[in-house]
Amino acid sequence: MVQKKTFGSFVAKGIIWIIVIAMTLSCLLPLINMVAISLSSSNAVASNQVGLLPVDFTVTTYQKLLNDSQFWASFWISVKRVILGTAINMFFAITMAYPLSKSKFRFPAREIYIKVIIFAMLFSGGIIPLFMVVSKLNLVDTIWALVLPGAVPVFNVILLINFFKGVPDSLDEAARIDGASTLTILTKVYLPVSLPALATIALFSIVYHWNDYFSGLLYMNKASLYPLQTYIQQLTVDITQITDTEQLKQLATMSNRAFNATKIVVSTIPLLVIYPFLQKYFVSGIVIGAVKE
Amino acid sequence: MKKKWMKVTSLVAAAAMTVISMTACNNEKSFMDGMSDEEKTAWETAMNDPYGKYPELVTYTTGYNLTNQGSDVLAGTPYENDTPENNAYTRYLKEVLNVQNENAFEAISGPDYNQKVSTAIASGNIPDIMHVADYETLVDLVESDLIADLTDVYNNLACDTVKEAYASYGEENNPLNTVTFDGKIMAIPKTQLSDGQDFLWLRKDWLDKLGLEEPSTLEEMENVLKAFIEQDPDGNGQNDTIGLVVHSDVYGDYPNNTFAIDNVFTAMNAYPNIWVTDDSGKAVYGSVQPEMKEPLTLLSNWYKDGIIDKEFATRTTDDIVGLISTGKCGAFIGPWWAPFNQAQTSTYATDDAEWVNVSCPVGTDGKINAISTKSYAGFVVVRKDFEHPELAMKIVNVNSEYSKQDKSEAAAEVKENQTLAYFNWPLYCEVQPGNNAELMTQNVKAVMNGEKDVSELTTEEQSYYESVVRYQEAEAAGQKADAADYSQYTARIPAMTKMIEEPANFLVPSFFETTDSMGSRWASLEKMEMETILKIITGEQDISSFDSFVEQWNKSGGEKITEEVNEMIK
Repeated sequence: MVQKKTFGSFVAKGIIWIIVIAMTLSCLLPLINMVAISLSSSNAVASNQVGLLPVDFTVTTYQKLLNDSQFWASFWISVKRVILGTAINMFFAITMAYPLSKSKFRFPAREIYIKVIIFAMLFSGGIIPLFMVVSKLNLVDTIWALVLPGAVPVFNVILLINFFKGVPDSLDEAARIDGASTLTILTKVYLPVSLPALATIALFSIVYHWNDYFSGLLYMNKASLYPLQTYIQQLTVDITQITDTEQLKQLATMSNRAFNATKIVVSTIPLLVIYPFLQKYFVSGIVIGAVKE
Repeated sequence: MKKKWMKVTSLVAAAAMTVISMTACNNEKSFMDGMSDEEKTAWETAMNDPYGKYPELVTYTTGYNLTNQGSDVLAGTPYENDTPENNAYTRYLKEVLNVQNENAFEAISGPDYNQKVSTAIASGNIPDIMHVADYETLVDLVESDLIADLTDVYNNLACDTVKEAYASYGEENNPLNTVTFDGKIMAIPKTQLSDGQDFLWLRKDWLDKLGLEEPSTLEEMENVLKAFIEQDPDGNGQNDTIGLVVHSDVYGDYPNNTFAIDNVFTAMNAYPNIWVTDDSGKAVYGSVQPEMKEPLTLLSNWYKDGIIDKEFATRTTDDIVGLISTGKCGAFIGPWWAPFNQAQTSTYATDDAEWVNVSCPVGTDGKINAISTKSYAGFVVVRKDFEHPELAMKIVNVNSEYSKQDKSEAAAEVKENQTLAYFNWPLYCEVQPGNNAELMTQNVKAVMNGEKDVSELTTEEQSYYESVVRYQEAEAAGQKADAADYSQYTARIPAMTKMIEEPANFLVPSFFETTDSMGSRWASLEKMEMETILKIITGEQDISSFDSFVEQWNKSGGEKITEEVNEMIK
């Protein structure tokens, strides 16, 4: 079918392009600016001269970062958290979503479970009760405090339920006739056809665990146990009130913005690296052709 | 009524104290069970001496304040393996008092630390000794009966420096008043340095180039700012300079808010953002008083003429620092420590800028009208039933007095760590007289003039003196001094001298804390206020809209809060 190139469609296309480009730039420019700051001299940064290109190009902040032992300690904690947290999230999301994707004739209590998890998604006890539960379970100051409170990612579960629902029932029946157990059906039939969805929720989990700074602040009582984003967040807090001469001294030795930008840039690299590897799973239409109606 | 009650209770407390001190010798604590008499005496001597060293190591749990420098400042120093439980300060305390902290939590001082305190209180598990930052938390702790009465501890053990420092704030403003509940001292207050007045900071090199005098009145200030805009002070042939940079909050948090222009308001007797006592003795909110109209009219004219930065409402502090650093602006309002700001250090290094602080704009009597800060900046509290409540006082003593006179090697380590500024003293409570910064400058100057010997200075003063010497040596050799030395010198010597020699009128706000209704209403009232102020200054609204704002403000809860404030200060 050949589309007629009217003036109207030309304009519409132009507008779409402008919007898409504007959105791309609004995501990309701050990132480029941060990279430029990290590669500029601290004087140039302080005087706000740095835009999209580095001024007085230097890599001293990167060299300095290699010596910052707390940065790498926190980096390692974050890596452990992502691996552990994502594995736990995926396990619970899959094992929960599969039964819940079945109709209520095969799984009568389904509606109750759905209601409970949705309720828990919308309402929570608040920070203090959450903290008290975690601290009474003796999880504070351990890596488990960072991964267990969010072990069941409700939003991801719902995504996965809907994806599993889209898998034709005939696939399930065919496997069952061939003598497959429920577990085999889940692992050999459902998971392979759900790779795009699994990649998506894995990415969500990774990004969540990598970027979350608040639970580190809440559950870690020792600064040496902070995950990376908590550590970085701490560097960007401002001193608002000068109450004693000690704080005046701090002002004099204020960590410079260029160095903090370097830390931010380095902390985003792992995510940028992971993304392309997951992208190859974002292909659709795997079930097409599996069933003949 | 309340006062009378307090008198009665303080009498009772005083009587009780006499009884306690009489029985002090027999006051055995449970941890002394099974000790020989000799050991008991050793413990008691240590416990009743302001600097007594305990016979055995005493471990206490605490909350630890860190600074947001990032531990990387320690890299390459002898301290890179230090931890919040083992650093110069804790090692020093261990040596002097034989005490060791075990941190129940650590956090950057400020909101993060405060949140840790609230979670600790909520979970009913507070550390033995900790610093709490705000008054509401202290009241909470007192009301829920979680903290120990420190009256005896204070009376027996507070060192002279601490006692004199509290007294220096005057009877009305004494920090101890704040922590006294029913005649009992429930906490050791940390003192807030009197921050002094804000100044107009100007580029002296620009003034000289344009042949201008240092301004003093509002009118003179206007002329200087006009000249800074029109006469091309940076000499680049372009009309690209800005008059006065202004913080987007305009005023408030005096004088901590560098770039805020409270002084312009106070010069005309308007005191925005604080509670002031009116002629009838009632507390009223300064921002809604008719005195505000005059400075607002002036500022909107200045805005129209471009004397204040046209884009001030949307600029962040970083933007302002950028404007000054690039030499686009040579005037701002800020406190005596403004030379620590990167705006000054970078122009000093790259642009040969010479900054001076000027007492301007002044009120009708030729002095700056300034606002007093509160006398306390946090409190040290001790968990009820903790065996060594005196430990808190002893650490504060060491922090505020002993360590400053100690010239031993261990103290030198503490001094070195102060400039590194990653760790803090445990308890985070230094008690010093309100004018401590002035006193230190006077001592350092006495050494510079040869009236005193370096060895007579405290360790802290010595480090400033060293900075000053390094600065002067660099300048004499025609070089640029290190930024930190420049800041120390400029802030502590010329700027502070001006603060001492040109005193300001200080107004003490009638109320510092918050009331019940403020929790739900204050944020929206402040937003309304700031929107109106910005609109009037930028000319979007006429000055006549100020009256309807005041009416609206009162109706939306302002009136109720004013009543509550008056109730609380009665």
